[in-house]
Amino acid sequence: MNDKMIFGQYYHSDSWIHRLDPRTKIITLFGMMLTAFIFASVWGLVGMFVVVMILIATSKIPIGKFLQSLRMMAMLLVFTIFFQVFFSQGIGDPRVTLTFELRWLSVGLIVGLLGLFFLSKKWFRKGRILLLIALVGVAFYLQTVIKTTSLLTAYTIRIYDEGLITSARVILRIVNLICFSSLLTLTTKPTDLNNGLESVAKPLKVVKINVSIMAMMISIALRFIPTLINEAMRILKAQASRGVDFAEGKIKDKIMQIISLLIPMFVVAYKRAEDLANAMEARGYIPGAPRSKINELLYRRNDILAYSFGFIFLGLAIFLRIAYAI
Amino acid sequence: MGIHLQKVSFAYHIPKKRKSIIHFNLQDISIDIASQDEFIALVGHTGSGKSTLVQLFNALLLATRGSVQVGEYHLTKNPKFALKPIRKQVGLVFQFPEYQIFEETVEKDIMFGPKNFGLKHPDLIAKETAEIMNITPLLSKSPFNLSGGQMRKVAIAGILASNPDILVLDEPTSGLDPFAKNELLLFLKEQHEVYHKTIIIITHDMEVVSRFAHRVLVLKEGQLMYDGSKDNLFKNQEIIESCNLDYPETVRMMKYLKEMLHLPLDIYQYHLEDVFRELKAKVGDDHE
Repeated sequence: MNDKMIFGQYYHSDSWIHRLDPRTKIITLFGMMLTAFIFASVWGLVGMFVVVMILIATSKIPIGKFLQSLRMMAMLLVFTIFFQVFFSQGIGDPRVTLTFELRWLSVGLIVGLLGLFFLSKKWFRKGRILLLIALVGVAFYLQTVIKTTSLLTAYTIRIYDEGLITSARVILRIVNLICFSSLLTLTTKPTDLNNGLESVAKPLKVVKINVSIMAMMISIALRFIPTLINEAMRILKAQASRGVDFAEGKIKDKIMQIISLLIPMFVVAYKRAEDLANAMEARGYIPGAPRSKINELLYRRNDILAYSFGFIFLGLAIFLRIAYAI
Repeated sequence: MGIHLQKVSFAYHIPKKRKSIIHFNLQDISIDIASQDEFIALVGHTGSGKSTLVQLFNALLLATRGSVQVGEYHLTKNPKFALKPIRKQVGLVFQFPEYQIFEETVEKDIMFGPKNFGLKHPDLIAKETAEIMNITPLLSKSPFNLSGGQMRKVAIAGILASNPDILVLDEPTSGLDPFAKNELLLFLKEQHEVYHKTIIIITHDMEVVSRFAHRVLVLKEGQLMYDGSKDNLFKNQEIIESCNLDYPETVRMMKYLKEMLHLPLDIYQYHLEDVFRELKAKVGDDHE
């Protein structure tokens, strides 16, 4: 029942980025990701962001897919903004000065709000991060408004231009990086990605790393994830028939029950691995020996264009950094 | 008591969109199975839904539509009660023993089920079950060093130890040599006859059906095609052919003899002795 599961993020579509050779995509996108660290100013990063947006628009992938991968980093982004904006020191005068007062009433209200937030888990499952951000905003707002009851402590926060600029830079950098890497994983099938990586990493042979074996390992691992999930479901059912029930029981029993799932899982996985190894050897697989490929990677005209675009972009970034410190 | 299925349909995937068509893996199945004295064979082609059906029996899967009653429990889509007691009543042995065996010794592995169901003296139960199954010498061994047949016995013992009323076995004889297969089936027959347990076997082997089962359920593409005695099944040529079933060897042999010798033989004999008796009665001693 899990046979149709596809791992990785690959989104099927038919755009020019999808059709590029995986090696091209890996090398060019990696090169372009480097520029995120080359640009030192916000304007350079904004320019890069525009390029990413154009690429995304032409990739025929819904923007929601990119937002999904950004969502995972949302927490990190929020914290970065928070610390950069509120705690970085600048040279000139602060742009905004805020004074907060902690009083008994406001402390009580904030604690109450936090309690409500955790209690609300049952009813609001979606958009909790937004809710938390709103809550933090309300908490700070309360500290400026409430002037009654006795004062506990007061503090001031100064927001400087430097803090705002650094946080903008950090955010743009992270967003750019994530968009580029998502562009790679969303437009390339895991198997293609693996083939591409194998080919790109071939020069590592010089330092005695056998890339083809590594690539084979990765592709087998990808292939076996759904199979092993199926096996895990079967084991779960077999043990459920013997009364394994995670909903009840003491912690000691629960540990035993987890063991009852893990050991058969290992046994089955090893057995599968052995069978596979035998089947591969029976079909003439020799680790490390040169093998021909069923789908040879092939560069087309678009690949050359993509390469040139990528390198011009990288070169331009280096030039701008050196000549104009952008 | 027992298992009662009423117009049960089951689908693994329920599409999110309201109006899209649901592909049912089981459709409109109604069965009544008593908790005592039944020996049922469940047959059908690969992918006909046999394994899915038996998982409905002990609430490993819950019906998409229709009602399932096991013992005093009415199973709905979201049961509000614990499912453990149901699994104690209906013991399900899966096809591959390696999916459930995990302990250091056979004894501990057999004890696992009774412990989970909170039975008293699991060690005594394990010894008793081992004795019934004739695997006492294995008790202190590691279950991973056993032969296929022994492993399967340990797996069955692991379920039997919880003393279920109904014992369901998914292809218990596949991969066993003829001797081990016969031994296992005779053991199941004994469980059925002496302890009055209801035994349900999923099988492809028509010999198993003809020699042991009283009642046969035939599934085809998720639908129950036949529910009744084995005699009527073998007489019903249409179902045998449409469901890709085979006649047991004894019946095939008698059929052949009947055609060749033009004798009024009763071809529905399931044991070699009966075949011999029937031949003797119809053919007479002089042709021996």
